[in-house]
Amino acid sequence: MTALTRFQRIRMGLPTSSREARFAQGWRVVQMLAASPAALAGLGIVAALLLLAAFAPVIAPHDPYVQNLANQLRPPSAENLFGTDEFGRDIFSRVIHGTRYTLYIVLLVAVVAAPAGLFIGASSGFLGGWVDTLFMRITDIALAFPRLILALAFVTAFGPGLNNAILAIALTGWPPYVRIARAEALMIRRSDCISAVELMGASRLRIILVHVIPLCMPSLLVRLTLDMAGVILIAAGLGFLGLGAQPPSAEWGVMLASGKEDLLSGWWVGTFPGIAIFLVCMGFNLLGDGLRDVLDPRQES
Amino acid sequence: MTQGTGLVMGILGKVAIIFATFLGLIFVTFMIGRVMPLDPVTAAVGPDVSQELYDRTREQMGLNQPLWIQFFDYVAAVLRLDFGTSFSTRQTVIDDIARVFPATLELALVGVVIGALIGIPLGILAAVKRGTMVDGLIRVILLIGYSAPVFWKGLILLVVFYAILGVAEGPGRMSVFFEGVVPIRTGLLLIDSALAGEWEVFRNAIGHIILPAVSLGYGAAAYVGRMTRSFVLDQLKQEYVSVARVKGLSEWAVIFHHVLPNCAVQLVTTVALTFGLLLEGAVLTETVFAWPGLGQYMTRAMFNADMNAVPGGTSVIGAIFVSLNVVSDILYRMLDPRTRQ
Amino acid sequence: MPTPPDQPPLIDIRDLHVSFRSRAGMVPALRGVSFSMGREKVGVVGESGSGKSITGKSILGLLPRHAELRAERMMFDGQDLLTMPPKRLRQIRGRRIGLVMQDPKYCLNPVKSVGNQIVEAFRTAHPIGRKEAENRAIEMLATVQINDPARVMKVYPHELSGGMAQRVMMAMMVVAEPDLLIADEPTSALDVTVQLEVLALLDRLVEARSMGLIFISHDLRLVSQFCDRVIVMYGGRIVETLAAGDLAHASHPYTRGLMNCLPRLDHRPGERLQTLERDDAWLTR
Repeated sequence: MTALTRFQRIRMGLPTSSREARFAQGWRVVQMLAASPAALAGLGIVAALLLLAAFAPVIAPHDPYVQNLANQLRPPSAENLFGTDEFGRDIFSRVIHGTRYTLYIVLLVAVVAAPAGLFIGASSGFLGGWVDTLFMRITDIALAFPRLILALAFVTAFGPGLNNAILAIALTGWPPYVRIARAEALMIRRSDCISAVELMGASRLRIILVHVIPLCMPSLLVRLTLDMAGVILIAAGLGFLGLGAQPPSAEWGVMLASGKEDLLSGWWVGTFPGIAIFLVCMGFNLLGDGLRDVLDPRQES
Repeated sequence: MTQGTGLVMGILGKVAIIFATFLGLIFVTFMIGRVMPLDPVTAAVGPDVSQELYDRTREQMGLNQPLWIQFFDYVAAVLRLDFGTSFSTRQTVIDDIARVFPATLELALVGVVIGALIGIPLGILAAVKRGTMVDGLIRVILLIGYSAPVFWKGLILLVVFYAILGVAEGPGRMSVFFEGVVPIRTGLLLIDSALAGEWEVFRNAIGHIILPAVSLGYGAAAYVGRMTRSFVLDQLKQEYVSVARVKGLSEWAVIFHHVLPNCAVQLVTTVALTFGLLLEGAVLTETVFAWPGLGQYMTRAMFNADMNAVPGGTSVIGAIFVSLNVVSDILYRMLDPRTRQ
Repeated sequence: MPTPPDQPPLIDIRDLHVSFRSRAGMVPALRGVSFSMGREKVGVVGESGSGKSITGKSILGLLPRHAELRAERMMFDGQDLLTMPPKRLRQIRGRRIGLVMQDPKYCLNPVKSVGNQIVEAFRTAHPIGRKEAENRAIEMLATVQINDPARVMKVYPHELSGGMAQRVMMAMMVVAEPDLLIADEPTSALDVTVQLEVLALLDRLVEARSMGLIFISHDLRLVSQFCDRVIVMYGGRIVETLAAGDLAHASHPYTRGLMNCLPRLDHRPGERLQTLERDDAWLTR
């Protein structure tokens, strides 16, 4: 029998090093994910979002900000696939550029809220004692608050604007991650592998960062993906109310506000950005559900 | 520790947590009010005043006190339901809220009823026919429900049913024609007009509420339906369901007599929580439909950076939210025989 | 006791195959099981995965959706279970076959009272008024030796002890006067002392009503003492069928191995315990 190449070893699930083991595990996840058409659809949508955002200036046929008052409120046509808005701007191009805002919002919120919640939860669960009790009480209290209203109130306090909106959403979004990280930390706190590392003299900080947190990753990934759908909706709501992204930004929520104004004269102004929000949201939901079935079947939604 | 003491400690502990939650909420709204970009003194007396008037007003408003004393005063005021005076309407915030809240309450109630009436049966059906096309179709319908923004659903519904088809009424709660016709008893237009026997107004009110309520209701149905499906599937895996089948019960008899009673508690909790979510959703939907409720009030207050109205409204909605959580918890304990004593 | 010659056997199964659809293809669970029985106590013995529970579930039609069943013959008291319409099958299940399972606490609906569930079992099988059904249920609870049956009627399952819950299960399953009772590891979750009581009760119930009993267990000794006949299963097949008294003269090496592995009081210290030698040939015979 000839020796297997590294690629073959990973594919067949016969790793010979810890790095190969990680790849093998990732491959299993990909395989299981690929078996579900819904999850694949979600993945496709998210991938499309990334691509559109990356290549927006190339893909969009017109400049999203250039006004053309002679061309106001034109219905969809070959020239303007989604029609034009009240300033004569091409809605199709604006929708495509809107992907950049969506991606920006989603990434920033993820980068701020998730690690914070993760670290607090993992430390809380691992350290136990009064630290745990304190953080848990605070998190429970924070979880009982209405997220959208609180985000709105925060944005009012900070002043309208895209970055303030992101901060507000992130500030209301960390509790679920604390819960997840703490649950995982509690489970592995007493395990032998952690005890072994402790015996080798690892500091508690190191254990939390290097050992506990990586084990929380699967649940966290699922929660993150599902959360992104909610974040998009909240951000769009903020933009719609004029408290998030501001006109003339090509953010989808802002475009929906125009849609409301032009309801009777141009149904296309609000319809297409809304479809975009809906599609992206659905994509994250599908992907998140798929990931949950694969990575963490016991997690409740 | 005797069982009695343990029980009392348990209840005290829960009460303490509820209390801490409300306190936390008030703290957050207090900080929001203090961090606002608008200068409250200027908002009260205007921009062009003498330094002396400015300082005096500032002292009057208690703003030169250290922060923790201000917080203490604020908590005391909130307990008296005194949220200050709104800068835009010049009325006390609590009067404003009392005036606008019934409209939102009515909308959220109708929305949650629609959501439950559609969501629960769909969820049950999807669970029973799991894996089939019916299940897939229902799951897609539900997925659309919670992936689409509620205000966009409202816009689409307005365009289709009001602008194009003309079967529903437009924005607002009722036609101007009927203003003042119906005496206000509960604040809920549908009930008040029915009680007064004013059926034309009733029909008009329905025509107005139907679109925003369906916008909210679809989202509610999606959430409730998803949860229902999950609950029913969990129960169908249980042994007692097999045993019930062995007894000779038909599949639907098993669902109605055995599975649903076991899901009842969770369903009630879910519907209560959904009501809270709809109150939140109303803030966005009311803007689309010019619905004169708390949502529109809050949106205007936010635009004006109204330092009293925004924390006040947030506190009220937040308090309702927290109370719904608490009530659900209590209902859960009361209705599940396993946790009864 | 064996069936009188003029009556059809209670259960007559020939060449039953059950497979499960899974991601890795069809997984066989039963490979050609054939047996028949009358109103007697038959024990079905085997290890986990031998297919003994599946056999019981097949008779009751309780297989999960991803299972596939085919058989040459599957008859209950002369009626063909394979071609029967679902409604008729349901009636047979409710009225004439009962099932007692391993963990009674999970088998009872947690939000309904015990009495409610027994009454339901009775009224589904026979059209009877509520009051009469309740009286019957109380009688049944007394028969299974539950004290103060009227009080227990209003009790909820989580308030019962293991032994009491199992007795309630038996009452529930026997109240409709079935002809056949299938007991799937009925005593495995109970304390040893309670086990014996429950078994004695089961014995009395079955004898008094001339019911057939299929007793599924992994405990060979228990089955040999309790049942008239023993069916030994391995790998989804029946490897041997014999009268309980003849177990010492078993011919199949698996059965012999099982008997030899039973620990004995006169075992000499230091002597090696017997282990079971498996032969893959048993899977294909």
